[in-house]
Formats: sequence, structure tokens, C-alpha cells
Amino acid sequence: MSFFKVESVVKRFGGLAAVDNVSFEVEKGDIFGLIGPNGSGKTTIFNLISGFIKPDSGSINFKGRRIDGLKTHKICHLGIGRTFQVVKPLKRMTVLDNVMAAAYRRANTKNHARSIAMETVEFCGLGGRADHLSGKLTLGDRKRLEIARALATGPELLLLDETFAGFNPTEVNEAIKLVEKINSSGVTIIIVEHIMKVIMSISGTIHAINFGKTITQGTPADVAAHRGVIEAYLGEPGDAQG
Amino acid sequence: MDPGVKKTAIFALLVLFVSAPLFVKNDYFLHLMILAFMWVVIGSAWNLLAGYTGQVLFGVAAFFGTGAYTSGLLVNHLGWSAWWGLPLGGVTAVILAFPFGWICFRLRGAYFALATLALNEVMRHVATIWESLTDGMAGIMILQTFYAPITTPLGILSSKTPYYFISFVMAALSIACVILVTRSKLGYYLLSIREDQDAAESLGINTRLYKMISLSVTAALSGVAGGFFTNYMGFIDPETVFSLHDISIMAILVGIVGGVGTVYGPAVGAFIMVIVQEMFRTGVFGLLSSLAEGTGSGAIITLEKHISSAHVLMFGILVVLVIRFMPNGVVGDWGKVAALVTPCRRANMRQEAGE
Amino acid sequence: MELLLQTLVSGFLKGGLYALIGIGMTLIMGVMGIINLAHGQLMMVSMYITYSLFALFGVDPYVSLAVSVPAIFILGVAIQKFFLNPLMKIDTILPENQVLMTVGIGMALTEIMRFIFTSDYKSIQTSYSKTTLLMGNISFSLPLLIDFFIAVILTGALFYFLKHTDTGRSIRATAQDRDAAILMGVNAERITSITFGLGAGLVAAAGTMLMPVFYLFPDIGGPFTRKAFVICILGGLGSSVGAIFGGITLGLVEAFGATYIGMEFADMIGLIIFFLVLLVLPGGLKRITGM
Repeated sequence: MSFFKVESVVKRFGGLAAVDNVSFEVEKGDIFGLIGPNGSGKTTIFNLISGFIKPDSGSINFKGRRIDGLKTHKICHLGIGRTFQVVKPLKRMTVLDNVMAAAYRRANTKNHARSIAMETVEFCGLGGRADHLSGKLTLGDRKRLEIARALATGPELLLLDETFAGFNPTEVNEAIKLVEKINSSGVTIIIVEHIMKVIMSISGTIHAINFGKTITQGTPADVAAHRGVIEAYLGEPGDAQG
Repeated sequence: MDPGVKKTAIFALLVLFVSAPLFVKNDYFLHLMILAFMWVVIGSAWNLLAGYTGQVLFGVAAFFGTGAYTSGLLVNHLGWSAWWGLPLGGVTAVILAFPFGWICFRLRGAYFALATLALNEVMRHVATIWESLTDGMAGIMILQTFYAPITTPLGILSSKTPYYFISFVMAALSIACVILVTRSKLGYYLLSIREDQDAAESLGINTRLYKMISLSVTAALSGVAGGFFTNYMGFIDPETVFSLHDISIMAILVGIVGGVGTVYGPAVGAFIMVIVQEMFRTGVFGLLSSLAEGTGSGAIITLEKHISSAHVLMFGILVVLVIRFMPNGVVGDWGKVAALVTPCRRANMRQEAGE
Repeated sequence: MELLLQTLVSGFLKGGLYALIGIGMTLIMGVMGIINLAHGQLMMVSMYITYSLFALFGVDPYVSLAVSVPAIFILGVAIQKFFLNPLMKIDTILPENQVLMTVGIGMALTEIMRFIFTSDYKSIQTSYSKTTLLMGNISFSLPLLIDFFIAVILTGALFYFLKHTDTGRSIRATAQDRDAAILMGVNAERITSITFGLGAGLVAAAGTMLMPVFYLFPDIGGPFTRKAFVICILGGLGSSVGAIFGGITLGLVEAFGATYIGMEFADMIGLIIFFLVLLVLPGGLKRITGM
């Protein structure tokens, strides 16, 4: 039984297949990279996994349980947390309150929720800004907040959606460290990125898609050398010269 | 505000409210206080769903009227005391809220608001058309429990005194209920839903369930207030208790004028709005008519003649002005003003915004 | 069979006016993303303008289009400019404050009209109000027939405006993607004001043209706001072509309801349609028919 498995998933919007027969498996403890150019269907896959949309066919299994078609909150309770590419801070709540709302997933008293939240906020490097309104944070901090909130729900599998987009190099390095720290605390991670450099340095396995279809899967080195991946990123060889 | 000062202020207010009927025996004053307390209940109820959960309720009268009619029908058809209408009015309002919420919470934002507006209208039509049950437009008249002055060891008190205390307790309890909710897990969940439903879902919050819970509390409180209204006024009809402006829009105004999403906002809003409403109804408490008599000015006479019939117009204009210039209400915008005066309050404000 | 045909004809003709009402609402919804709950009230004001011109100066309702439409256009622009646009800049936790604002405006308009004209029913009796044309055994109300043709002309003019003028193109761009439109240099405040004015102008035209065959009192606005909303949803939110479809559908439904079920339940049926449409058809009839 695999930890997490996506099998022949198809999702069409209108006539267009946004995700077309994609399958992959993720081992427990892995950092699994999902790459592809903009609009290739990565976020759609995340929305399918977290239950915002239902696949037209195919199945998604988590720890031996079929989860496609379940409600989003239910999937969270099963142990899958996610961040959003377009951050969704609970704007008029403080950073700590944002994370507390998430921590209540596994806490029943306010004190317990607060202690989980404090710990998570510190862990994600937001300790100094716990009482700031989350709507007023910088983009970098908002992305950290996304991660902190997802972590506070106590996930075994964490979906990170373009956490690095819009970061400067220093911030990228900090974020990479954070992701590795989360991973070493025992959380399996699926990370979506279209910046190749970042994902190559942290992922064990990479799955590349374009136009909703799988191109290849393998180690970072294999994927980077794959002709289809290069074409997807640079366009057709002819285009690049033209 | 400093928590110590806040506690003292609240305690002083409580003492003042409890002792007021001993000193003030003016029926009209007590009447206004009773109305204000009732509106604290409705305003807090509205605020819980709209201000804390972000689901705007345009038709709170649907629940208020259901509570009011529960009370009246218990008397008319079963011969029970109308006081049973307080608890049971809350229950029937929740019974109405349940299927409504279950169906309509798939709608978001303005569409949900419109559905509540439609529910308001449907309930009014039902109460009007179903004459065998409700006596339609003729309304329901009940005998009030307290109508004569009451002699007590403390002196002769107005017949309104019992209503005063009952409504006061209801108001205090509904504020306590809001405080309790906002400090609990439920409060965090409701705020999360208000801020971003998708994010809330992804944090494991069953948004539909929690919206239902919020709506149920709102409906229950409004229903109880409706039950009280029947007892106090002794007469209800569809146009009064299912009124779009005098109940539903009034509730929104109470919420906004006081401060959306604040604990004490609806209480402040209730007192302001009851006074404002009464000013229009009575021509600024009779001042205009005495002015008109005194001065004989044609303009004042015309104004006096029209002002009582124009209270709905004033409501409309108030909605426009309040949303335009004071969208966070007296309590909500008070923090801003205070923060401008003393910088150290800013941190407090930030905390309060999250509580 | 004759009754059926007759019902079809009157429903269809009325549907033309409804389409006009619906397109106005749809335009506003498409560009601003808000539901204008003062829509029917704007129409009611236009009807009072028409009524006053007729009662005071004997101006024919169709001539008074030249006054009522521009007047309500200006009123609409003013509402958007002074009351709705400023709300975008205010940070408040009050949800749906723009929609609430339109409720307040609608109430104020209704009560101002009641102030001036009282709650009494008013109507205009023109020489042609009751004129009908007969085709076989089917009668066509002359005013409704004229209304239908004017509605078609106005709709055509609107579509031409939206397709072939710069302002029209800016309106469509804003409806598609507001942020992108602003980035492309569209003055969003100006466009939203013009759009609200246009929407108001269209519903004003419908109101004026209804006058020869309908009655008027201040509270007439609310039910028409509801109808406008139903039309809008039936047509698929924000789709002008859909609104024509929705308008005619509603016209037919009402005509059949009145013929076969009876007038006394009209209000209740209206509300039930409203509920059903709200719940079942958030994507409009398009979703079912696949058109």
C-alpha cells in the first residue's frame, strides 16, 4: 500500500482537459516535486487532491483510503494540508489567530490551540509578527503564514503551491530551509513550482507535466535532461530560434 | 480601552439599568428602553451571522416574525400563555432556519442575502394568506400579562417594569452569548469563514455546518425577541412583524450604526436607532409641533406634518449615509479615533480586532 | 388553442420589455459585479416622470422617452459616482455593502416618490392604450407592439455601442477582467459610472413604455427589481444576450401563470420562481440547454 497515490486522474473544463490521465505515487517522507510551465495543470491537480474540485475519472488514494470526491474539510481532517498559490490570509485576523483557527483542527481548548499556534508561528519564522494583522504582512510573510496555517492542522502530507513565486534569492534560500525543516520533522511534501532551480535542489522525485499530461518522472537529474521537459520550458526547438 | 476600566464601566451600566425603573417611573421612557433592549437582542443576532460569519442577512424579520406568531398562535389555538412563545418562538425560528440554511448556504455573498430577503417576503405572504391559522391581515390580539401599575415594597411601579426587566435580561444574555461564541473555537471558525471560505475549508472547517450553527443561533435569538414582542405589544400582524423596513432593515441599521463584527456595537446601535426611529415617529419628541404652534412658521408646520410619515424615507437615507461615511459604526470607528489620540492604544486595537 | 396562442403572443410582447429591464441589470452586474437592488425603483421613478409629463403637459409617453431616459441615465451615473464608487476605497468588514447601499437608495427613491405623489394608483389613458390589432382571432395590444419594436431597436443600438465604440469596448473589457482593464488604461470609475447610467437608462425606457398599459404606485419598484434579478439569472449572470432570453422566458411564464393559474397567486408565484431560480440556476438557463 502506497502512502499517496494519484491514478489516471482526468479533469475537463468545458471541452478542455486541464488534467489528462495523470498518475503518480508519493512515498512517505519524500519531497515530491510537481513541475510544469504556467497553465500546465499543477494547481488543478492540487485542487483535485484537496477536494475543491472532483475528478471526472480516476482515483486519489491516501494511506489506503480513497479521497477523491470527499469534501475539502474532510480531506484536511484525514491529514492533508495545503497552501494556496494566490495567498488567502484571513485578513482581519492576526497572524496568531490565523494559525489558531487552523490549530483548532486538533485542539479543543483555546490554550491548546494557542500553544500549537505559537509553536508553529515560531517554527515558520513569524514569531515577531504574531500579533500583526495578516492582511498587512509582506508577501514573503504571507507565504510563510500560508505554510504555518497548513502545518498547524497537523498534516502528514503537505501540498505547497508555488511558495517561492515572487521571492528574491535570499527569501528563496530561507524558504528552502523551511521546507527542508518541515520535511525532516516527518511531513511528506508535494511541492509545485515552475522555477526549476528551486525544485531540483530539494526534491527526491520530480514529476513533469505539460498541457495536463505527464511528460516524465524521475530524479532531478533525469528530469532536467529530459528532452520533453526542456521543450516544455523553452518551447519547441524551432520556436526558440525563430 | 483598559480592561479594568471596561469592566468597571460595564458594571456601572448594569447597576444603572437595573435600578432605573425604581427612579424613573415615566412609562414612555421605560417603553423606549424596552424597545432598545429588544433591539439589542435582534441586532446581536444579526451581527453574529452578518458581522462575525460574513453572511449578510437581509431578512431577519422572517425569524423575528416566526417567533412573534408562535407566541400569538399558542394563545389563539392552544390557549397557552404567550410567555411560552419566548422559548418556543426561538425553537420555531430555528426550525424555519434549518431547511432554509441547508438549501441556501450553497449560495454565496449577495445571493445568500437575496435569498433571505425572499424568505422574509414569503413568510409575510404566508402569514397574510393563511387566514385559517393566522387570521391574515387582521392580526392577532392577546391579553397582556401586566397592564396595571404594580405595588411593591419599594413603591408603586409602572406596569412596564416587568417587561423592562425581562427585556433587559434577554439583552444581557444575548450579549453574553455573543461574547461566549467569539471567545470559543466556534468564534474562530466563524471569523475564518467570514474572511475566506476556501481557506477555511482547507483548514478543516466544515463551512456549511458552522454557517448553519451561526444561522441557528441568530434565528433562535430573533425568534425569542419576536415572542417577547407579542407579549409586550399585545398585538401583531404580518405587516408589523414581517416588515422589511421596520424589522429587517432596522436590524441591519442597528448592526451597522453600532459596529459590524463588534460585541457591543449592536447594543450601542440599538439605543441610537430606537431614539432616531422615535424622533421621526414623534416629530422630535413633540418639539416640532410645539415649535409649529409657537412660531406659526409655515415651513415647520409642513415639516411637522410630514416627518412622521417619512420615517421610512429617513431609514433609506440613513442606510445610504451610514454605509457611505461610517461603515464600521460607532464602536468600530471609535477604535480608529481613539488610536489617533493615543498611540499606545494601537496595539490594543490590533488585539481586539483579532478577538 | 386560441387561448394558448394568445397567451404566447402577450407573453412574448411583454418579454421584450422585460428583456430591456434585464439587460440593464445584467450590464451593471457584469461590470460592477454587484446586484443593483434599486433597479426596479429607478424604473418606478422614470414612470413617475412620464406620468407627470403627461398629467401636467399632456406629453405622449413615447415622446417623454426623450426626457425620462436621459434623466434616469444621469441619476444612475450620479448614484455610481457619488455612492457606489467611493465604497470601493473604504475598508470595512461589512459584507456586501454595495448591495446594501442600493437597498438604501431604492428605499429612499420609493419614499421620495410617495412623498410627492402619495401612495395612490396612477395611470395614463392615451387614445391608443386599449387599441388592439387583430390577426385572425389573436389580438395584439398596440402599445405593447410598439414597445416591443422600440425594445428591439434599443437593444440593437446597445449592442452596436458595446461592439463598435471605444467606450463600449472598454465596458466589455471591464466586465471581462476589471484589473486587466485598469492596467490597459481603462478609467474604471468613468466606465462604471457610464455603465450604471446605461443600465438605468434602459430600465427607464422600459418603465416609460409600460406606462400606457400599466398602473403605477411607489411600491411597484420592489417587484420589478425582483423580476430584473430573475431575468438576469435565467439569462446567465452578466450575459446581455442571455438577458433577452431570460426576459422573454419570464414574460411567457407570467402570461401562462396568469392565464392558467390565476392572478391572485401572482405575488407568491413570483417569489417561488425567484427562489427556484436562485437555487437551481446559478449558471442560467445556458447550463441546462447548453446554448
